[in-house]
Amino acid sequence: MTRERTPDARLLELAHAGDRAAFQELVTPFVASIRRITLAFCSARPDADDLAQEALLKAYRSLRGAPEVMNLEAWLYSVTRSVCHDAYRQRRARGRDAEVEFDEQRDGQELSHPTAHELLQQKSESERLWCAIRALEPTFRVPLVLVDIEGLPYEQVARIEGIPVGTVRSRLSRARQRLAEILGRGDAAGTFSSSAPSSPPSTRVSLAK
Amino acid sequence: MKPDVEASVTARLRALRVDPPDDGFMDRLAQRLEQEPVAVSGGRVTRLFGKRRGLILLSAAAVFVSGGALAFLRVSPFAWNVSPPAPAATEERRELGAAPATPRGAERPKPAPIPEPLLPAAEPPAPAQQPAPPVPPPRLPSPIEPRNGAQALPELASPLRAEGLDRREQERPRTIPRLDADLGRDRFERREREHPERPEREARERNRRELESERRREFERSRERGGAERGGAERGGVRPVERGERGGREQSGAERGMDRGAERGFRERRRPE
Repeated sequence: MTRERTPDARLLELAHAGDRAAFQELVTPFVASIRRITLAFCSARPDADDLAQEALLKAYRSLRGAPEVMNLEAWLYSVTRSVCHDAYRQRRARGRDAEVEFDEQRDGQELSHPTAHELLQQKSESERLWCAIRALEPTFRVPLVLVDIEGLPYEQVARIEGIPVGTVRSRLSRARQRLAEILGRGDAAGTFSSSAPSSPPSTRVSLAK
Repeated sequence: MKPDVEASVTARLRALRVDPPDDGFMDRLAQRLEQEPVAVSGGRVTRLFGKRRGLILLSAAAVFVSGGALAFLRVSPFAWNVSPPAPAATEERRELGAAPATPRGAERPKPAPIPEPLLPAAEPPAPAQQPAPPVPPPRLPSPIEPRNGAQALPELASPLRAEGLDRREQERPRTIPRLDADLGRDRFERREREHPERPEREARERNRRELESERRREFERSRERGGAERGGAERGGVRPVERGERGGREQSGAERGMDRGAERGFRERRRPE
């Protein structure tokens, strides 16, 4: 599933010159994908949107002084990925669980030791899936989102991640396996099935990866 | 991992591909882009100076500030390597009747040729003039004496001098050796002029001769007593060494005892067990 979204050369030239409107028009087709990538790192959508805006601002600053960008989509995803990883490292350096912190802010609940099942019970199907993705290791999240959600080919993801294609395949396989485990435990516990009765969690899945 | 499980996971993930609500995302992005500075890194300044524009502007500011400081201190950096002005300036040369100085690099004007009728007629050659005797160089006057024809500077009517507060200045030691030598030479010459008979010198010579004869007589007496040439045993000298005698100064009783004790200890240490 390969998409061809070739940017306009004139817009790209204007964006290189620092034209804000041209840059905005240039990145509009990729904004949704960028927001989905950042959603794999932040449980709260406002925080994910802030991260996406940070990534776009960084791209705007970098595009003005950068040489010609060959593949704008891959370059934008690469910038977003680096911004997300930086934010993740900063949160981890502060010793705080980012996802739990955002959940506390959003839900207004006191969750001293939340488990994945406790969180998953409160969310819809898509939110449960996003929660399961955020339970993965950070190196698995971006390839999973780019390939399984955005539909990018392995070669492009390899360029974005800066790793070989084989590594992308192995990471994807392990990410899917781990995600299936998480979702399977959730299904077994009844958190992913609306018809299943609610039961206490049998396993604890830490989100603070 | 089973393929069907992987396919189900992929299908569930693909369902997440829905566009998020706008929520004013693009408007906020436009506002944040408006706050971004324009042409900071790619503008005219960068094109003009490159990425080292900070260093260049800093250097220019440093040159400007140092130039201002030099101007404030009235120091011209261009006057450091300029020779002092010539002793006879143009006006002075003109007053003296000479031609003005030729600027450096310009060709010196040639004197105008003397017209023929003004030349004197053929005359017999004048006898060769005797060269003038060489003028001895003027002797530099002593600093303590006024120069010939000049008058000593009058004492300055200083209030400090009037109050007698310049004693420190008068008692200040003279630290210039050349002036001291000149002063001594002047005193010697003046004494030679005033007292040609030189009684002090004769008295000094007489005393020196008496002291020398006294020393010689003492030396002879010490030799007669058998002492060394340096003055005899009574004066701490060394007695001449007789044949078969140990040389050197006679030891005292304590020294001899110490030597014997040392020898005995040495022998006891060397004695086999």
